[in-house]
Amino acid sequence: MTTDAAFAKPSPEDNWLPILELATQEVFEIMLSCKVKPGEPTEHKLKGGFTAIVGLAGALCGVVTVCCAARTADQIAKGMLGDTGDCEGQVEDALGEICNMIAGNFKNKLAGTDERCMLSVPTVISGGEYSLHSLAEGNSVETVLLFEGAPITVRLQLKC
Amino acid sequence: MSTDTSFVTRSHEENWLPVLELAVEEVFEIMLGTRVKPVASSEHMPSGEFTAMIGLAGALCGILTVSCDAKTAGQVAKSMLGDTAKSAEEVGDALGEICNMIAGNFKNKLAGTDDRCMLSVPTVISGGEYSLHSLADGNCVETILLFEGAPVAVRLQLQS
Repeated sequence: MTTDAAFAKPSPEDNWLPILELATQEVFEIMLSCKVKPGEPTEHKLKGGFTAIVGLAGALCGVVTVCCAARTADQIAKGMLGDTGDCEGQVEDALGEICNMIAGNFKNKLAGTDERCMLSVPTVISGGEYSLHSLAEGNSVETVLLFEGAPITVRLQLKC
Repeated sequence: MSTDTSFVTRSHEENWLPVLELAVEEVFEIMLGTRVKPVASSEHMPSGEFTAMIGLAGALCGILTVSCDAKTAGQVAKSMLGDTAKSAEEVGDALGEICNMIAGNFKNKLAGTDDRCMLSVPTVISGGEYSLHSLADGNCVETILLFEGAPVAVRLQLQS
């Protein structure tokens, strides 16, 4: 993963989408040996499934979430942990770790942020039907990518 | 709210339950005008239809959650925002703010933590069917209190 602090500046925020996309692509390539491609947001709406969430605090304040269907989460776990990776708890751990790495990779690409922005611990929500409401009232940056043909939504929501 | 940083030293996690309880009591008293006391967890478990969560990062790393049923979450919102607070978003905002204040009050009571531990942004999960799995592998401190006769669970899960 690139950690060049001169890669980008933290503002304007419309520069952050390509950084988030790159951060995500790099994590999938390194951890899952998979080149992921962007998907169309309007075509893929997830209901329930798995959502990993990790908080950012400090110079950047907000949350990064990674959402996907249960089957996709299973495939991620198997990709990381092998065929036994679909055991209870391991799927959540794998998706949580992916979210953690994407958030860390993203914030490290922003000049002046890497040491001044820290991550909390990932939490993974799973279930048939739930909604998430973030109190981050600032900008939201989102990318949808396809992993094994299924959509994964990665979102960064920031406090203004 | 007291901010005496000599109140307790953070090296003794077994001391954190009374700190958490006091932090919760103070927030409910100031924000909701009500005195709450801890109750036995074996007798009172909230349904968890609403869960507010916030990340801690830095000197303390983990998450703090506040869980209750939908009716209780609505009562919290009305107490904070008035009788017009009915929408799911307003309920989520109110519960998220309570979670934010409890986390802030708690970490400010730990000596040496207030400046070195930062909070991310609250996120509120709602729904009838979901589970939370935290990747925090350290200690867990939990208190349950009664608000308007219904249980509210406040849990702190830390990274070791």
